[in-house]
Amino acid sequence: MQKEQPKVSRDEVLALLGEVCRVAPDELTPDKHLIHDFDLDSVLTLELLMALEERLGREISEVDAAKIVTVGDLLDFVQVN
Amino acid sequence: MKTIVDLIADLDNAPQGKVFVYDRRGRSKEECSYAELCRRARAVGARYLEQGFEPGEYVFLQLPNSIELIEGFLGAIIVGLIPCCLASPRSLGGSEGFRERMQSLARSFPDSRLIAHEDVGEMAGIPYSTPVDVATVDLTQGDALAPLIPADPDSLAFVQLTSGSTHRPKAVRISHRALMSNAKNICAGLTRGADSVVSWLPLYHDMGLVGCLLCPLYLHIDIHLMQPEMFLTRPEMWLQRISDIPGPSISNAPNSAYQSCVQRIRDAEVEKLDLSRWRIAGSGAERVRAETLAAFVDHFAPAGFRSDAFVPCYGLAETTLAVTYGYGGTVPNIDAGHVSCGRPISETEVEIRDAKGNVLAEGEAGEITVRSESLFSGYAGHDHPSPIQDGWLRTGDRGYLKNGELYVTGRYKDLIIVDGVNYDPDEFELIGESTVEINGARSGAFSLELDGRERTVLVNEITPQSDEVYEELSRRVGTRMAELFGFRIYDVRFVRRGSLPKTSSGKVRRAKLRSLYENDELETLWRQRS
Repeated sequence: MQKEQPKVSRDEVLALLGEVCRVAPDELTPDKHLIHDFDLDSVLTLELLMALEERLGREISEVDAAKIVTVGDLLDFVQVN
Repeated sequence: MKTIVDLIADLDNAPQGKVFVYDRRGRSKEECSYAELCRRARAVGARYLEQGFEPGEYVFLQLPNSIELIEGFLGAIIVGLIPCCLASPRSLGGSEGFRERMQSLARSFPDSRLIAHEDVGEMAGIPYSTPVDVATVDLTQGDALAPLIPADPDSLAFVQLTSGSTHRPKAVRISHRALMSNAKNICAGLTRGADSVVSWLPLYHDMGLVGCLLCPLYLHIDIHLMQPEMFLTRPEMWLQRISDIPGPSISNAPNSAYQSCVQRIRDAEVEKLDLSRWRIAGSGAERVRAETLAAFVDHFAPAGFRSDAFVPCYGLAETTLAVTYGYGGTVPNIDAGHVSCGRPISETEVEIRDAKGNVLAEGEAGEITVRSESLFSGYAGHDHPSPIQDGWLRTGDRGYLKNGELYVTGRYKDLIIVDGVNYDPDEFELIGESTVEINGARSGAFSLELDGRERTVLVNEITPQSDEVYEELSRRVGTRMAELFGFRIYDVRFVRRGSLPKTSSGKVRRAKLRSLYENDELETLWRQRS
């Protein structure tokens, strides 16, 4: 099977996350917990998801979103989608 | 009309009424006439019975705002099942918390069914059924539709979950009689077929379910049902919908939603709106703030919003929905900075009492108590003590009456409300106690209001440890809270074992604890926040 290039790069995701969470990209290590460490509230969470959906060109289901706990989970999700 | 079944039957006589549903981005998604909704709900009810659902069982509906949810809810009522709409899984990292909530619910309600789409049902980790697909039913075939058999007005119609999402669920039982009284008296000042209702409130919330679905159905007026996620990301789309409706409209929301419109909708967007036909802008479910009303009127006056459209109201799930309600046309009274929530609706009385239960005079503040035809029929799910004494509901809210109007000034009950969701503090205390894991060491949770947002503090008893241990425990508490409830805890503190203020029976005195915290009088071993 031919491996497709991910639609959104790792750096793009980190840049987006840094913008939404208002933190420097070097703080976004994979073990960081999105809600606990960056105080993402429900509005910021949805903004992040919708911005990602726009870049991926598809909707992210609530089940997929619910599995994303850390920065690493988010990067993994984008990698396989 | 005596029951919700009568209300559903009457939808057949409302060929002009319709439900319009919009997706998360505010785009038109589906619509359904009331006459068709009546048939669809009957088809769903018939299918529930075919699937072996037994009357009297609880049906938990885990679905987004949609026709599917409405017909699933009404269909259950038609055949004597007891429906309850559930909150959606938290959007990020909510998987663990969602699974725990669902399992806690299944334990508390052994005779219950879960209805969810496949992916969500799998995530719940308990048995579930997918929603009935009405497209597979021939709605013209009478025998595919459940008959509309009159229900006993005192029987249970539905339940609303108010708190205890992971622990000791508190499900408010609502009878047909209570709903019909509340709907009739909320709608008493409104005209059949005259307005449209616009709502993005979730149907698992009393103001969404009763105020923005069942009342409009009772009135045969159009419902424009949007998604809560849309409001959170694009609040201007709520007002744009109101602006686009050619006739008069009614739309209700909590105070924080009005506040967020002021903060987030720019002047250029305000100019594109026409809010002059927004007749009733109900504000309930949270304390109504005079500053918010003034700021909203000021911000949206260029769009034609009228200050007499604001209708502050007061209610709670234990009274089905409304205790007080108004119909617009007069600017709400303000007394000493407090906003009037108006007068009680018919068949509902309000008295203010002191701690001993004595009725207080006008102008004196005390606990708001309510007697009403709309009172709930007790809690289900867990053996919670009844707040009804001699026919009067003790609301746990503080307020006073002046010229017959109710002013709400605060609350006595230990309730924590974050992003519109109610939590019993013991849900958070349990996390503290199970993380510290020292026999007999207690935790106390309370909330603070900071920048208009409720923030949670957890103070935990412990035997002295090293800073690294405090650090690690605090992180474990924080990540667990985030996973279960979807928000960050504001502060975690540790105090010496035995030093939390308690009652003689050993219960943590949370109000006292808060005041010690606020005055910096807590003898703290370690604090997360300096």
